[in-house]
Amino acid sequence: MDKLFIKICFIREYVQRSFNEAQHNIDAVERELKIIISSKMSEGLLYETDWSKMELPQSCRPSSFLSFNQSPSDRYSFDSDECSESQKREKRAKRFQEHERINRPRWEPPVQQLDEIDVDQTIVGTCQKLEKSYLRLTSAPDPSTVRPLRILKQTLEFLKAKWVEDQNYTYICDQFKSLRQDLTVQHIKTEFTVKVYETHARIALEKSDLGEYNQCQTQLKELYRLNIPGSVMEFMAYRLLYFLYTRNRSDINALIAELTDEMKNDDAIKHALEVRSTLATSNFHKFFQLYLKAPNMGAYLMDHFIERERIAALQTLCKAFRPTLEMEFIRTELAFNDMEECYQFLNEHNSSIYILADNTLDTKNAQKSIEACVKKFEKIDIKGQI
Amino acid sequence: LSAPWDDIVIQYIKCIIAMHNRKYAEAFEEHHTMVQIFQRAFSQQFGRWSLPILYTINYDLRLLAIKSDLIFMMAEKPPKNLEIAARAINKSFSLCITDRAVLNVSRKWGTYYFAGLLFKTYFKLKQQNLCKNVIKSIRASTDLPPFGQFPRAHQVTFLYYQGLLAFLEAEYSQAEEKFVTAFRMCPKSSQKNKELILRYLIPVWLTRGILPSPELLSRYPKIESLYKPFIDAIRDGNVKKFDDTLAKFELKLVAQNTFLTVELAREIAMRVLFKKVYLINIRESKVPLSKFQQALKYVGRDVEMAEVMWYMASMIQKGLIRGYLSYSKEFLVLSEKNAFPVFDAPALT
Repeated sequence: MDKLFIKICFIREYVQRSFNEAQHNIDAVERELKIIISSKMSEGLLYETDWSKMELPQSCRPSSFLSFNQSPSDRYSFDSDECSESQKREKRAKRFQEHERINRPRWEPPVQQLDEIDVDQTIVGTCQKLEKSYLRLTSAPDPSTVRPLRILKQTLEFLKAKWVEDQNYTYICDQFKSLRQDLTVQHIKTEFTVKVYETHARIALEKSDLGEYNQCQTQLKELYRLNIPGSVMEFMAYRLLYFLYTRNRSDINALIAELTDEMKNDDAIKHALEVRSTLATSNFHKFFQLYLKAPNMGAYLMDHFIERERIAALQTLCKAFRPTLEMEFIRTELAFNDMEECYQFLNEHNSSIYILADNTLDTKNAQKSIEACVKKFEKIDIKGQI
Repeated sequence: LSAPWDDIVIQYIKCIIAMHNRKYAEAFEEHHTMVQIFQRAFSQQFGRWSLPILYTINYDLRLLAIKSDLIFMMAEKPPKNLEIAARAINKSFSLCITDRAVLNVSRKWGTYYFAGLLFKTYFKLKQQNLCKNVIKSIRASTDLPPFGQFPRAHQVTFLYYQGLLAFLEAEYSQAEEKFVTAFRMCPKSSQKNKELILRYLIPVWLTRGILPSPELLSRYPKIESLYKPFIDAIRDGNVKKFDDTLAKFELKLVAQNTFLTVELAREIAMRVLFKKVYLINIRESKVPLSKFQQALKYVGRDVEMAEVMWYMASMIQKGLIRGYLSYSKEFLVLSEKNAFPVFDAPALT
C-alpha cells in the first residue's frame, strides 16, 4: 500500500509543479494535464511512469508569468505537510488570488480521480493536544482525535523529558502506544517513526518489558527494510542478544547469515557476536567480562539471561574445583558488583549455607543444590521459548 | 481413452507444450491441474499399482514449481508455486497414509516416499517446522507396515531427514544414530547422497571427539576439502589454527547450517592440547595450570590464568577430563584411571 501512496504523491507533485510553472496559463495547463494523465491511465502506465522526470505540459512554457517567492520545500512538502487536503487546496487557490487572477475553479477533477484510486484513504489528524491516552481502535479513527505530525513531534520531545523527570513507566508506555497508533493510522513511515519506535524500545528495555520491546523491534525491522534510516546496528545487536536469551538456534543461524561485513565491524554487533561465541564455547570468563562492557542498552537484555548463565557457570565451578573455591574468585568471575550481591545470589539458590568461615565455598556440597537450580531453568526455557 | 485418463493425458500434453515454449508458469499450472485430476481418480479407483505414476507426477510437480518460482523471483513477483506444490504433495501423502485397503494392494506403501518429498519441499521453503506434522501423522497411524519393509530408497531419505531435524535442534545423539543408519543403507553409487549425510554427520562426530579416518575422507573429496583442516587442527591440538579455519569457512558453514556445531569442536581441539601437556609432563597426575597456559600461548592463544581455569573446569564438567582443580594451588589433579576418556563411534561399513 505504501508504494502506491508514494507513486500517487509523485503524480500529485507533477500536477503541482505544472500548476506552479504556469499560473499565466492555468486553463490550458489544466486541459493538457487531464489529457496526459488520462492517456497514461488508459495505457495502464499510470504508476509505471516516472513522474518526477516527466516533461511539463507544453502550456507551461514561460510567457509573462509573474514569479513569486516560494521556497523549494513548500512545493514538495505535501507528504510531510501537516495540512489537511482542503487546507492544501485553499493554499494553492490563495496563491493565484495574490496575482489578481480570476477566482479559478480548483484543480479538482484529476485529484479526485487519484483519490479514488487511492484505496487506503490517508487520514490527516487535526487534534492539537500533546498528550493522549491509548485506546485500541475498533473502526476507522476520527481525525479530530488523531494528532498531526507536527504535534506528534512535539509530543515525542515532551515525553522524553517527562520520562527523565518522572520515570513513570505505565504512563509513558500508554502515551507511546497512542503516539505509535497516530503514526500508523496516518501511514507515516519516516525517520520520525523510526525515532519513536527506537525511543520506546529503549525505554521498554530499561524497564525489562520484553513484550513491548519485541513489538517495537518487529516494527523497526520492517521500517529498516524499507531503507528508512535509524540506529540499525544498535538494534541488530539487540536482536542477536534476544535470540541468545531464547536460545533459538535457527534464529541465531539465520541472523548470522544476514550480517553484512559492514555490520560485523560495528562495535555493538561485534559485542553481541562475541557474547554468542563465548556462550557457545563455554568461555564463561570472557562472557561475564562482556556483560560488564555491554554497549547501549545491551546489558538490560543480557539481564534476562544472566541468572541462567550464572547458575550454569556456578555448576561448572562446583563440579571442577575441590575441595573449596575462593568466594572472591566467584565474585569477580561472575561479575557481581560486590560481595553482598554474591552472597545474596547464593542465598537465593539455597547454597549460602555452604560458604565456609574463610570465605570459600564448599563446592562438593554446593554442587547438588546448584544442579537442582539448573533443572529449574531448563523447564522454564522450554515453556518460555517462543 | 476412457475417463479419467483422457483428461490426464490432455493436461499432460498441454503441460509439455508449455514447457516446450519455456512458459514454465503455465506449465506448472497445467501440471498441477493434472495432478489434482489424478489424485481424485487415485482416491476413488486406483490402488497400489499406480503409485509409481503418483511418485513421478509429484516429483515433476515439485521441479516445475521450483523452476517457475525462479522466474517469478526474477520478475519480482512473489514465488508461490512451491507452496501450492507442497499442498498438493501433502494431499498425496494423506491419500496414502489413510488408505484402508488390504495390505498388499494398499496405498500405504507410498507413505514414506511422500514423507521424504514433503521434507525436501519444506526445507526448500525454509519452513522446517511443518515437518513435525508429517512425523506426527506417521506416528499416529496405527496400521502402517514396519519401517524396514519399505523400499530402501524411501527409508534412507526418511532417516536422513530425521537426522537433519534432530541435528538442527542440537539433539546430536539422535542425529548421529539416524545418520549412521542412513549412511550404511545408502548404496555406494549415490555419491551425492552419501556426501550429504557426511556433511552433517562429521560435525556431530567432531563435537564428540571422533575423527573420521583419512580413508573415509578420501572417498568424498568435497567433504574432505571442507573438514580436513578442522580435523588436522584438532589432531594437533592447535586451537589457534582451529579458530582461524573456523573464521575462514564461516560463510560456507553458516550457509549449510553447520557452523554452530563445528564451533563446539573447539573444546575437543583444546583437550588434545591439554592431553599433550599431560603426556609431556611424563603423565604426572598433578599438573600445574601454568603449563597449560604455556601450551596455549605456544599455539598462539595468549590467555589469562582465569580463562585457562574456566576451560579446564568446563571440560571436567562435560566429562572430557576426569579430575579436579585446586584454585589456591593452581593445579589440575587428574584421576588415576582414564583421565582423558576415549570415545568411539560405530563402524560405518
